[in-house]
Amino acid sequence: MGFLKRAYLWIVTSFLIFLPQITLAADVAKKKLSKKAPIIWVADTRNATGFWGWTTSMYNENIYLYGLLTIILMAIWGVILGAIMDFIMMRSGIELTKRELRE
Amino acid sequence: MKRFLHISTLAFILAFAFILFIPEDALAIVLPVSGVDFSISVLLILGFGVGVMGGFYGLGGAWLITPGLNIFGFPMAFAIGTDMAHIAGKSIVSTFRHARFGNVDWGLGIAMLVGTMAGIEIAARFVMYLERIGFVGGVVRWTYVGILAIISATVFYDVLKKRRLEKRGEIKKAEAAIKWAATLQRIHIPPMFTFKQAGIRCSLWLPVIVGFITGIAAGFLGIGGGLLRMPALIYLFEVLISGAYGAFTYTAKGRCELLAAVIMLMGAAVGAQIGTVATKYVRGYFIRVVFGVGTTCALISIILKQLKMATPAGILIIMAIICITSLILILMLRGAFKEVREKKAAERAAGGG
Repeated sequence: MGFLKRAYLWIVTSFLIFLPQITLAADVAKKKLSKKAPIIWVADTRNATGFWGWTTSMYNENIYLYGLLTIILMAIWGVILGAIMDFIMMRSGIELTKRELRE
Repeated sequence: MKRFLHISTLAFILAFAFILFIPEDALAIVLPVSGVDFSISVLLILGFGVGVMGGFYGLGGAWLITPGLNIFGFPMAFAIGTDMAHIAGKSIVSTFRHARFGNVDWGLGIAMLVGTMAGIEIAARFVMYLERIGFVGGVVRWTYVGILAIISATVFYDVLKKRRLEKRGEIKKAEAAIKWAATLQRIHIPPMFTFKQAGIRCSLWLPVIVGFITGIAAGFLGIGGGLLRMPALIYLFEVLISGAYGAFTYTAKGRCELLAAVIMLMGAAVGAQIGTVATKYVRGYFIRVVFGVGTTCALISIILKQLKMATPAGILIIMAIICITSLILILMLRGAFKEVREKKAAERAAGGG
């Protein structure tokens, strides 16, 4: 218990130590903000070929379409990998439809 | 059956050894969007480790991915965005398996979605603001340190408290020492709702507010939200949708490395299935201690990164992932082989009888 109390004390103290830094950072940030414009990233299409070249170009040309592509691609990839792994696990001989829940 | 399990295990060990011991240059790629030079083996290990832990503990394990990617060179906003994209895919794999076990409560998940999506959007905009003013790395890293410190302390406190109570005989073995969920469920603000699969009755506002708070955490730290919703696995599909929304919003802001997410998902897909199946065989409070050790290692490596010591930070986080996943994997395989052996013996006995 004593150890845990000390651990919590350490955490709180650490936050208090860094609090002035964060406050100062916020002040500096406030001053800087008026001068800072949003950071624009441009993908390097020179080395990307094939499918990845196409997606990288899409990133530069239409970011929302790239966002949509990301969701669709991740979903399809997740389903494919999930189905493959499910197929493998079902053939492992392990009972996978029920499980005893206990600590 | 047993032969299939043997072959699968051997193939997996060989693949794991190949990833671990192949020269780093052989698997290095330049990621086209962020322009970061990265190792495929690190991406696969991160993905696999997070898959195992996500499937096993019921939380995304993304608390390792965002710091891990950042430690190995990803800009922080990209680490969060890529992690969100990878979560969206991995949740599909885990939901497959958990739905088979009957752990998915669709009602509870839908209730949480509203709050989660709002929370993610607010957090993503805040991350972009921090990036603009040049503070995103430090702020996110220190937030991680704070959250992981609290989680580690809570896990160890929970374990120690339960042990002490057990020694005194004041608590049953199956009873958890900290009962957050029960306390929150006692809040009675109408409309009250019963979630059958989860087996709870609570105010509808509770999942919405929990969703909002965890959505902010998810969007800010790049976690699926499971980290803060660990006590139950029943709303996994909600993590799926919130992950998809988080991925979209970060990608639309230009902060997602699709190729890295695709590679990580390959490791995560294998890991998520193994981790989820491992919950069947691996039990006991010691596994919570392992989780606590994992979060502590992640915490230390984030501090090391913040102190510009990227190499020890990278070694520590990778070693923590490998050790924890290997432990879960060994225990899972032991249980699986035992079950298959018993099944075969039962079949032989039935055939002989």
